[in-house]
Amino acid sequence: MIFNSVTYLLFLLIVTILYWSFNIKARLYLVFFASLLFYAFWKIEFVSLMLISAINDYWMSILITETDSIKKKKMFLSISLFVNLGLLFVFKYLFFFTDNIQSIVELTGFDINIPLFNLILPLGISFYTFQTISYTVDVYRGFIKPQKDFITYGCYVMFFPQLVAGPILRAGEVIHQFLEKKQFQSNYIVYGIERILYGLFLKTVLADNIAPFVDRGFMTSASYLSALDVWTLAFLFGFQIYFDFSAYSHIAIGSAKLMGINFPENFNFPYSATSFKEFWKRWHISLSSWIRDYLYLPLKGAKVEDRSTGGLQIEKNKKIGKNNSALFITWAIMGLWHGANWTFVVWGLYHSILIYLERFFNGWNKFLFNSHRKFIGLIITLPLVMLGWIPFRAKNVDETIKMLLKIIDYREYGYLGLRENTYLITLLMLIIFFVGYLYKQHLKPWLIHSNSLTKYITSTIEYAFLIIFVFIFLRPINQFIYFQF
Amino acid sequence: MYRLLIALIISLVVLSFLTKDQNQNFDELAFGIETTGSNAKGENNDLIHIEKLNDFEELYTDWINRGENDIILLLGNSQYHTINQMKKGDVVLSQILYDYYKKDDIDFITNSLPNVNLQEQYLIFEYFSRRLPIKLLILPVFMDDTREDDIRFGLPEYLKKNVNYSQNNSVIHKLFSTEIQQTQDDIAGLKETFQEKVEYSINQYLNKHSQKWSRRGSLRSELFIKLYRFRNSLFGITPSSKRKKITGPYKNNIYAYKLILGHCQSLGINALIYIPPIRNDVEIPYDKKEYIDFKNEIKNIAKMNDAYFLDFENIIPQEYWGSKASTAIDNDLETDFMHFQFKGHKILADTLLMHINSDILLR
Repeated sequence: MIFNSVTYLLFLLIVTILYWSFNIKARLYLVFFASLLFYAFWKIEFVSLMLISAINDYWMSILITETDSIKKKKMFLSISLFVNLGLLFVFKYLFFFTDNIQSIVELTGFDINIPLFNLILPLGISFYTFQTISYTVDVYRGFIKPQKDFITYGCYVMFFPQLVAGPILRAGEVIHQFLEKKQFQSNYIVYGIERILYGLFLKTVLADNIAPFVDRGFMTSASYLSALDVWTLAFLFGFQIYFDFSAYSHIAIGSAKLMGINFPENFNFPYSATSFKEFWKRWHISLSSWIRDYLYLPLKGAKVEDRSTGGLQIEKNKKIGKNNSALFITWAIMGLWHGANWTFVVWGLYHSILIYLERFFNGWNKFLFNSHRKFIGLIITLPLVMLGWIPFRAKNVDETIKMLLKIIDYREYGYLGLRENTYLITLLMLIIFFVGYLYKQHLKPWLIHSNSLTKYITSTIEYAFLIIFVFIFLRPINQFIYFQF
Repeated sequence: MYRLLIALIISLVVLSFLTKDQNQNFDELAFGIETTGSNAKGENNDLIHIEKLNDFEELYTDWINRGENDIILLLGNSQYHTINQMKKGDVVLSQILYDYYKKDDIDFITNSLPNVNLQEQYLIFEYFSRRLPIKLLILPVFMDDTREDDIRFGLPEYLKKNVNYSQNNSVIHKLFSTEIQQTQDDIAGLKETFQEKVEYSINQYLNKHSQKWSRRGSLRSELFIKLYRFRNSLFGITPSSKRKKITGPYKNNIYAYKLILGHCQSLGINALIYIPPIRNDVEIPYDKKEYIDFKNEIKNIAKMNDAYFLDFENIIPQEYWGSKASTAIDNDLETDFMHFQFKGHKILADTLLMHINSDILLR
């Protein structure tokens, strides 16, 4: 089910009413079956695939705790990983793999036709697979005890607000919330609706209306674009993907809150980051944290954590140069997680280089005042992060290279190759982002804390504004970008 | 909770106010109050002038019923289906030319679309040429339309369904990779899911029972029109503002132009290409050098492909042009560079007739 639809809002309304009418046990069943229904609204045949992944980890995690043998624990963990990663490989990477093998074979001069398996990518497979992996690994690590009740466990794995595009949750954060005897509170509803309205506004009013400009720009051959066009498209897609994906997270957090369940934040105004490290503490925080704890830190042999917050923390005490391969491997995999295409690997490696360089030059600006340091950090970080979206969105690596080469060619700065509105919209989005940031971070808290009347008026106007725009623009014309991952 | 309820009431009041009136749409804004849409019609209201390929079958049936005459095909933009300051009895040039050629058992058929680009014209022409015996193609090439780059007007939906292409070129490739147009569909994001049917039913129900809901599309249009006007006022953009050539779309359209002429050659269809009339009493809304380069390029390509090339840029005197409603926040009339009065249509029709009849174009 897609969030930006009337169907979802009705579904959510019914589930929320039933949820608060039921006792705890019935609530668990409600959430479990509502989640299956939510997924079946996309394609019913893929529900079984999700269940296979869930049952596999449910079973393996119990077997891991029931044995004292380290060897057997490792074996059960390996089976879990094999099934999860196997499903992911077959449905997401098999075509990419066979296609690349075919290309290599052709390069060597052999005339062999390798069958290509271009399968439908099951919605949310990258998300629920990572979630189930984290569950089994956490049981293996002893962070949590396995959940014996399959319905409760199923609620954690398949809880519909986060099922198809996160946030990627840790069992330790969520399962206990399903089991708590919560009483209905009106602030759950108010806060939940507020977040849902924000999400729908970002998706339907901003992201969906930027999309045609982005699509048109990236459809244009790179040879017809100027350097300024490349910058413009980088920024514009950067805003589209941010509004789109953070919208999903807002709606997920809001939907869960309606049932009294707290999700960790997944975004925190990432484009206001003053360093690359900070950016990854603000962007897709639950994935960055997952990558940190289940890939990066194990590769470095460092201690891991049991929380999906904090983003991609980089240890302070490790000297630069020591095991940097972990950084690059992690980022290449992070890129590949987003999609079976070399462009995503390029995007991942680009970010690993930025982080590496930041570590290398760490402290170069210590002589500056803090505010100056932040400002310089912002004007370095923002364009370079945005430029990273070029490989992420470009048709292929060839186009990516052509577009990025334009940036460093001064002769490419003398003309424009996009419709005039594209530049205007990009500028407008930049303004909207920073005005939104200043409002949410500074003006709104001040208004709310100044006196109760301003608090009342501010939030009433804000809600009315959001309701009107969402009412006018709500329609599922586009899926969320992250559905394809 | 009270804040949310009050906000909901305020929203309902505001939405009631907003959904009260029917306002203009984008097309009306482009034409302005002085310009009226008008299509040519055959005897018995036969379809001889269409604006969307979905009407092609009706046009085709009417053509069969008239006796399957040879065809002169005009592919144009909104200049060919609008009349500035239209009076009773005024007709577009396609009507004049259709009536003229009727006696020779030749059907003068027109397909015109607003701001249609040459890539779209290629696809339309290619389709028409599959179905009808075209003797002569008349194609006015507008500088303005080379700034457009999408395949629109329902062409992807219609052509993908109805045509098997044997040729492989970038326009056909673009046709098949065009997904953007699907966003016009309100539930395109649900395509091929179970939710698609449910969402459709809910929408139908809400459209039927709530005026506010059914007016959402108009509200979106009105909002965009207001933004468009605001933009124009803010940056001082008027129809007279210079429109720069946009490299990517321009090259794609020139490529499509070559395809059209190549297709004419391969089928033995004569082609009459011309630079269409534009107001000459005020400065043209293009960079002068770019416009001259454009005209030269169109001419050279026409010559290379044995097409007949003419420049009609200045044939319509200033008194036969008009103005259009403001596209900014103020209400002042603005110069209309595209749409002329009936007398302009008459002059253009006579000029075309003169050239078509004096040359070998119909032999």
